[in-house]
Amino acid sequence: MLAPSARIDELHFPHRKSGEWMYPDGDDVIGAVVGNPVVVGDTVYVCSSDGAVYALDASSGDQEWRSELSVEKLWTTPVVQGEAIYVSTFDGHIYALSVDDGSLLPWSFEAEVGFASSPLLYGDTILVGSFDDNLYAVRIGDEKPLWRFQGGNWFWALPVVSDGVVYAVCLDGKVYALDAESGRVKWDEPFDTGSPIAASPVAVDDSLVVAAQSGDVYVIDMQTGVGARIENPEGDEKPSIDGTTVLAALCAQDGIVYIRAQNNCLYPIDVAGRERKARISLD
Amino acid sequence: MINLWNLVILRPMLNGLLALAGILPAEVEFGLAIIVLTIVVRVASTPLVLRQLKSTKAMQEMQPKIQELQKKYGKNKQKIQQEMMKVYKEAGVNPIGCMWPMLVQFPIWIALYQSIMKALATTPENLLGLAEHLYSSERIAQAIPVNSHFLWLDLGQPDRTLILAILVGGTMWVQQKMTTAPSADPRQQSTSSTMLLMMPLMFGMFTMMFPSGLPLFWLVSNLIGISTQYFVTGGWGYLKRPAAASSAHTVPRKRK
Repeated sequence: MLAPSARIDELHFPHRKSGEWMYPDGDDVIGAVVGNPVVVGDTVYVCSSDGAVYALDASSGDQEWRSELSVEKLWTTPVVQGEAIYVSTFDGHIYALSVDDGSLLPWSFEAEVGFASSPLLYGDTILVGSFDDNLYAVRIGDEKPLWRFQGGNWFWALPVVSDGVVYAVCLDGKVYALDAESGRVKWDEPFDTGSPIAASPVAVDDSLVVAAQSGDVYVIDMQTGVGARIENPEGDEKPSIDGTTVLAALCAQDGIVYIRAQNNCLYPIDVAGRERKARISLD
Repeated sequence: MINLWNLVILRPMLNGLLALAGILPAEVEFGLAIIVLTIVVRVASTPLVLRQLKSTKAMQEMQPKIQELQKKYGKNKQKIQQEMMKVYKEAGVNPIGCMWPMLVQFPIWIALYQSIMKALATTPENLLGLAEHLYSSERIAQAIPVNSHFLWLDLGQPDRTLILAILVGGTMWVQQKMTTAPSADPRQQSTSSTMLLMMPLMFGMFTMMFPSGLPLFWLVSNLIGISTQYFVTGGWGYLKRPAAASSAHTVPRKRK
């Protein structure tokens, strides 16, 4: 999916082949799409900077509905569960919308400050970071948060939840392990990378792989919180990924974690072997 | 050096701007915060401005003497320089004395510009970058992200209506016109006239290019400059006064 802002910047669009579509088509323009689109069944759900949530037919791109939330900068990624779509906003709300027509469902949550991150669903609990440096756990249907955990800066990236433990990375450079029910810390000390972490981590077996903005990549034991830095093949003194920074969420496949850096290269990390493979250029 | 700049100048100003936005009415929070902070900074730098005006006035009062020297020694530039320095020394004036207050103010304006641009956070990367400069404060957290709407403006986008461009260019022209003394020298007069038009036109163009939060700061700054000029030098200066072909009737020229 390409953001409409790309059209304003006069970027070249690929020619569409049969079965490919673009929304909006023609001369219509919507606000820039910053968060990820989410595909559930035959529908694509996406938030736009014009403050609306769109539901599009996945096969044709036709708009099924558009729901206006009257907020500025809807930059987050929605999350879908059952018949509801949950959206966190910069003005401190979590809204629940009907998947059928986008209408607002009776429950919403309001905090005193805005939410910096997209929501993550764990069972019936929504985890979301806020601008007052807290990670909120909000049970759907409740008016008050289940718990809040204060970090040293914003929780910008989505956390990872595994076996009842929330692994949250923070812009203060630390990785926290928290009990999903109570919010209590699980490790003796948070793991400190020394550089802000904006990229969502990924779990592979019992290891959590984290990439800091400095380009250093760490593999952390999820039980103990003890971790090690991945060495740069070109020299130990350099960051694991040197000369660039990491902002995009990490993803894993068959024991390999793929890290897309800001220099538009993909860096595969062999988690078991604790080594960085040759980078892949995406240009 | 960058860290020192951020720690001592940028961060306090940025957080001050956001804290102000946090206590002002939400509908106009950031626009008003820019106006209030611009006024605060201008008021705080008043002693420097007054000193600058005083130095400039002293320099301009010496112009007849300097012109006499230029006539007397013709093309002997070295001699002219020597004699000029003597004149300055006798009058107890440092020729670069009117420059340093302006130089001291310059970093403040740069920091104010950076603060406005950072606080507006028009892209996700900007918003992410903002996090590293913030103090831990509930009031500041509540101001993020700032409401970029103010009157007809989206402070994060250039104003396409031309209204702001005309206001910025117009106020800048008035401010300059108030302080630009007519010159007996036709070449100097021609240069002054060109500058009088060029600067407002340039800033008018910049207004259409930059996010309007910055031109709003220029506009308020120009209005305060005009007011200061009006009350300190007593009136509209050369804006109303008929052009006199003598540099003896100069009023202090305020440097931006």
